[in-house]
Amino acid sequence: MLESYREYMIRCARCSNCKYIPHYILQDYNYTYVCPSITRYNFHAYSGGGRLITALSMTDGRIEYTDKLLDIIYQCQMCGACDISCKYGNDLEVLQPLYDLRIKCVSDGQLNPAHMMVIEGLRKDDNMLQKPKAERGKWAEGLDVKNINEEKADVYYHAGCRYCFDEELWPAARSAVNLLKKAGVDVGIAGKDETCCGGRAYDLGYLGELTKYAENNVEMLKTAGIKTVVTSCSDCYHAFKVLYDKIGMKGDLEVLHITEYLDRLIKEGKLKLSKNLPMIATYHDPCHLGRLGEPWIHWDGKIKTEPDMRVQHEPKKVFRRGTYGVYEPPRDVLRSIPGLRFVEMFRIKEYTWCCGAGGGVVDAYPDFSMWTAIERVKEARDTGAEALVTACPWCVRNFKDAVKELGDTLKVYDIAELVEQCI
Amino acid sequence: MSVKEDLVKIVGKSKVSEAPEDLDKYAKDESPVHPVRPRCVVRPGSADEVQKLVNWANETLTPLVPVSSGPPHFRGDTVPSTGGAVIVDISGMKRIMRIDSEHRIAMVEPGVTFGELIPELAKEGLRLNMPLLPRATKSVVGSLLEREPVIMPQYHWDLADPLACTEVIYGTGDMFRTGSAAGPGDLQQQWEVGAAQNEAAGPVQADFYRLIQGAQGTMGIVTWATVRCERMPSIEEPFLVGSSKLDDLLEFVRWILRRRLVDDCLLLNNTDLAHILATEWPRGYESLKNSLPPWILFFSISGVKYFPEEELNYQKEAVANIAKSLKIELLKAIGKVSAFELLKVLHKPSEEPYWKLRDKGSCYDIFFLTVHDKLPELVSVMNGIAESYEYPASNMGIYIQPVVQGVSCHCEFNLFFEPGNPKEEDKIRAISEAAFEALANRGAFFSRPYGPWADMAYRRDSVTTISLRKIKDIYDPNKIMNPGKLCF
Amino acid sequence: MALKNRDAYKALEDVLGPDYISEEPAILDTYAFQWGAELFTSTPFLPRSGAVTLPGGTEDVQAIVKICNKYNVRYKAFSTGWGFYSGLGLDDTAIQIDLRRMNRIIEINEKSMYAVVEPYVISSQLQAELMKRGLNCNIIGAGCNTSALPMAAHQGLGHTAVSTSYGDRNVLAVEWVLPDGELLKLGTLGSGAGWFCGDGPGPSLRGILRGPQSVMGGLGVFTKAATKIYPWYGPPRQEVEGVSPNYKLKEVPKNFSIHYPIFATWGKFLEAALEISESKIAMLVDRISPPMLAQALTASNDEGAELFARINEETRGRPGFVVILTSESDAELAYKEKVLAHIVKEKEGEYLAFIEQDDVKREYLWMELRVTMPLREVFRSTGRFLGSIGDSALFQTSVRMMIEAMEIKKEYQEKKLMRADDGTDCIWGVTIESGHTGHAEQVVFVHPTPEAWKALAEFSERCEDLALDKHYTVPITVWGDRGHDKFGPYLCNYHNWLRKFKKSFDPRGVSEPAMYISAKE
Repeated sequence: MLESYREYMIRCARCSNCKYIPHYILQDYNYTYVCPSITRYNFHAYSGGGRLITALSMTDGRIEYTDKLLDIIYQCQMCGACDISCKYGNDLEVLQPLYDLRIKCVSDGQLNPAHMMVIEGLRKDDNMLQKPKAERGKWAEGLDVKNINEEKADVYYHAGCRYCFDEELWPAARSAVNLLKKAGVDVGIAGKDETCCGGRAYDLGYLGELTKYAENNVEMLKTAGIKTVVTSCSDCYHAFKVLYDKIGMKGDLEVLHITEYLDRLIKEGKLKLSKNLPMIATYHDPCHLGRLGEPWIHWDGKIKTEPDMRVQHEPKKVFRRGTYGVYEPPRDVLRSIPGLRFVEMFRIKEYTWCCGAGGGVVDAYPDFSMWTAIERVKEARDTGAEALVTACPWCVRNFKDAVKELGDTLKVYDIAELVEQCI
Repeated sequence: MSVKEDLVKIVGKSKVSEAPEDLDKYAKDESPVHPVRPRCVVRPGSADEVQKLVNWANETLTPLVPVSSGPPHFRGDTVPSTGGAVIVDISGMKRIMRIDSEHRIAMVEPGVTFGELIPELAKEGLRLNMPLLPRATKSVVGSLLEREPVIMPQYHWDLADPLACTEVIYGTGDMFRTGSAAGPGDLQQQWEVGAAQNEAAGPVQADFYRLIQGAQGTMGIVTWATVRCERMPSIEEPFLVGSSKLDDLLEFVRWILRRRLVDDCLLLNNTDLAHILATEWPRGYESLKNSLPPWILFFSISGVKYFPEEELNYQKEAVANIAKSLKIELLKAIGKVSAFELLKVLHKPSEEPYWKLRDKGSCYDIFFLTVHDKLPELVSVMNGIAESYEYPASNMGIYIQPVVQGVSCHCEFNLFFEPGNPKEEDKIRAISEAAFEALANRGAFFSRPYGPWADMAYRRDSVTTISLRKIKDIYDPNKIMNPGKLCF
Repeated sequence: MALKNRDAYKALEDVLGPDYISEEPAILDTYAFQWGAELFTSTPFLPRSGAVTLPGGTEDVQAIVKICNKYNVRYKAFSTGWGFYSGLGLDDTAIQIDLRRMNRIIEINEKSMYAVVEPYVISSQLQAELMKRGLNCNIIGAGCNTSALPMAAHQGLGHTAVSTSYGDRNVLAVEWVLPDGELLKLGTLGSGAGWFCGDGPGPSLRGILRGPQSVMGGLGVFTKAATKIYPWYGPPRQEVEGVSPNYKLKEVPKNFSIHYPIFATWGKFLEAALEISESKIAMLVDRISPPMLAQALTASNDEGAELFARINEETRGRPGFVVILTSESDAELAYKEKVLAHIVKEKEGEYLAFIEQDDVKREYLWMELRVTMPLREVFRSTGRFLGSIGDSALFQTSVRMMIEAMEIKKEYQEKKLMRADDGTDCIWGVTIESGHTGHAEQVVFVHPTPEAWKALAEFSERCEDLALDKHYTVPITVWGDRGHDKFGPYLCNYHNWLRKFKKSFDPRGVSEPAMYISAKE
């Protein structure tokens, strides 16, 4: 509940650290900002701290809903960068209240029209792309892979809505499955029976949809006897691993991103990368794999200020500060590709710059989404890279569109595509 | 009552003079400003008397011209610009009020000269960051208020240094103490709690001292000032570098200052250095000058308190490395000049006669601030102007003083001339006017605009002019303080 | 709530465009929310202004200020807007000027050692670019997330003041929109000679631009400034390892070292601090108390408490400070280490072993130089703090005043209106310019409640009384009419002169004076 975060809201120092990458590692004037929203829209309300204050204003009844207020709330990719930058120095929650802020908006009927269309599509066709449900399994045609609803498999590969319905991106999902099979993994998919993970709906404030799809997916996996989920989509990864746990539905499910799995397989010698792939490539950390990908930590306690007035938590609270996101496995995978020269961008890992597609922004504010992606493409170019590699189809789509918009020649790949080229 | 009677009531009979021979001394100076005889000269002995004088001047609307140094004067700021002025000569206020060795601060009245202060500081293990060879009669406070450049740029954090606090009688007659001297408490009370009137800034949300510095006495009269001192080194080693190319020296200077390795650091052309050291004219001077390259850099390195030899050595090594990388040769003597001899000379005021007067009898200085990069061009421009007025460039002294830890440079052209020679005086006047425009258009900043430069400087910056006049209206609404100077 | 003067709003919108002005309550609240607001309104919010503007450059700022003069609308400008300074005194008849869009580094002049910045360039940005060139800048103690303008902050004092001085002393030329909208260019800038000097011609108008404290929005808007920069002997880029919040340098830069000497008494502490400062060996002399040190080196309050206990076992209440030595050569570092060790020994001190550990050095050295730890040090503990009552004259008198103030502070700590200092003190201080001057303050931790802030205000006033009674210098809580009217009569009535400046330069009184002074008779 939003009100439960009030003790954090009032302790926002208004230091603006939420706008920047952690200052400890800041090395370049041009790559200072980490929050696309404040960078674009400038008024303080558009920063993480600003939205925390907005949440306080709402909690304290100081403001009413207006169109502008809703813009402020929804012109945010929910990328979590503000949360991480704040938590370098402070024991506050920033992102969690922002989720609750959106949930409150939805429950108060304060909806974004573009989001409404997306959710209607979700409710009708179980996907976030407003595509016919019947077409969900087409990406896997000819793939010769088990369907977990028909055959037993050890590992479930969840493609996710974007991979299922964005034909241009199918090769990456197919590569992932092929690689797993090549490595001897007993993998199955759900094909046309796959449904949305519910993660992106949650980002829009639709808690009910998350719960519904979590129940659905967990039930399906339980029935299929699946203990391990692997996905190429960072949003789905975040949903299964973090959100389902947050709402108490994850159970013992092991959730892996394809990059984690590939890294493991390469290190175990089950995948051998032998073909040369000469290119200079940089890697974009997807928000939901990196800083938001660390496990959920349950805490149900209260803030205490006794005995010494210091703000502490009872029971002790371990804050999620982005430390344990998935950063190295994708990098290790790239480094193991023969001939590939890997260069880092300026904003990476827990302080990565969002691709722009998250939080419903790509649906409701496409120009803002595009602008965000273009900033990232320019950053990739500044490294001297010929290719921008990432690990999430939403990032891939947004970057491809940005490259096209710019008329650039930068190539955009998902990691799995590159790995398959080396086998 | 007459003016004299009024003034006698304030300062006493012996301190007021209307004698023509006395007035004539203040009616003009070595600069080409138009001579104006004052009404009389008054010599107060205390801040109280100064305050009474200012109050009287407000009542009678009499212009006051403060003078803290003894003659000769060079800038025109102590010559009245209007008739009926009273010279307030405070050069007789000569108390060294306090030397605080622990906090490296000295408190002096305006009449104290460098020659008087330096030995007293030395007794306490302190030294002054002083200007280049001030004349024997030069007031320390006067120099500080004029923002004269000082020869140890490492210790020159701000253009205002080494001035700290002041006590000033404003043109309104109000007494004010600037910086941490303002209070709380009077001076004695502050000393009892361990304070030292060392912080120039303030109080609070203004730097009041900056408004009287550079003001040429147009805002008020300072009755004492504190000056920041440095610790006397245990050991000191001087060096000379000669070159025909100013750029090469400037690059070297830039690096040794950036690394904070040197104490004294200044550049002179051979003309100026010969003027400083020559003891016999003209042959001794010529011989000395001809033994020197066109440009000479002088700097010193010191070890102060802790393991001074080691301190000296690591700095020497670092300087040597920089010199090596720039193909600079470090010397202990150049021509007939010994670095050690020059070191001794530079740490005292000028011997009499004042070095600038030894040759022709007088000297006019054109000076400004600029940055290293612009110096060679500005020197070239100035040379051209001098030559165009048939003043041989080779006769012109040039002094370059890095300031503010090397951020910028004071550049000074010394034009030696024969006083009382109308042709020479006219030439100097013409060069001065031509030089201002030509130099200012190429990046020279006349931050201390004396005489005719003032008009030219303020014409370039109307908003600053208007703003300064607002300050003037506050501090001197009746315009009694040295009217006609700057933009007032 | 909307700006009361609708004509003014329309005029502002015409100049800026609708994207760069707002009177949306949600937006206004994010500017009204400030730490310290509880003192004035008993809520986390100051009164909302009537509108917030986002000028894109000097011309926009001038236009805004001229409109405000025309329509008699008060305005307050700020850079990062951190603290009640940026909102105090406003209501729906006034506007705020958020200088966020003015964020360019205009020039870095390596030869003349200055950088020209717009107000929203933050110090970490500037420092990062400078270090690539072997240069550095002063970063204020509040942190590198603040403006690099040398007159944006309250004082502009930072951890490296011993070698990089502080705001008042680092100002060169300035571009300044005066309260009436005229554009004043200080010094060389006004004369067309560049940025290298802010003084003259003649008297320096830096005299009204600021003092030991800045004017905090009360005298127009600074749109660009040249600030002095300093040498840097470390690498052009810092190799950082780890993931937030556990960053460390891969290694301590060559020829750098960090120590934390501790001393038996405050007297020895002072002697040592001043000898070290005067010897010019240190890049940084920074009094950080052990509780604040523990907070800085931990990512949570729980960890902070545990680490403090460990450090305290070693310090046992003995005061100390951080020293960072930097050099370009082995010989230089060896000399500096020798001098430091000698002084510490002479003053019967010792190095805190905790800081001597490699992983601690690697983390903390860069924290000090980049100034990344203020949030941990002062906000995380209880949520709010105030650095109160220090000054910037003599380090000795400043520290002595803080020690006396500790006794007053204890009364409030016993009532739990302020957090106790873990059995030690929370004095923060720095020496300035090789120890010629210095600053110290009491860091006070409070909860964000009206009662706590009232206690803080009361404590500050009592410390002000202490400063007056004992003739210490002026505390940094002295600003605004209240502070100046209290202190002015004891300091040559400076407040009367300040009022005259205000009246003369801001005849319509529209540059919001709450943090400066009003022109009232």
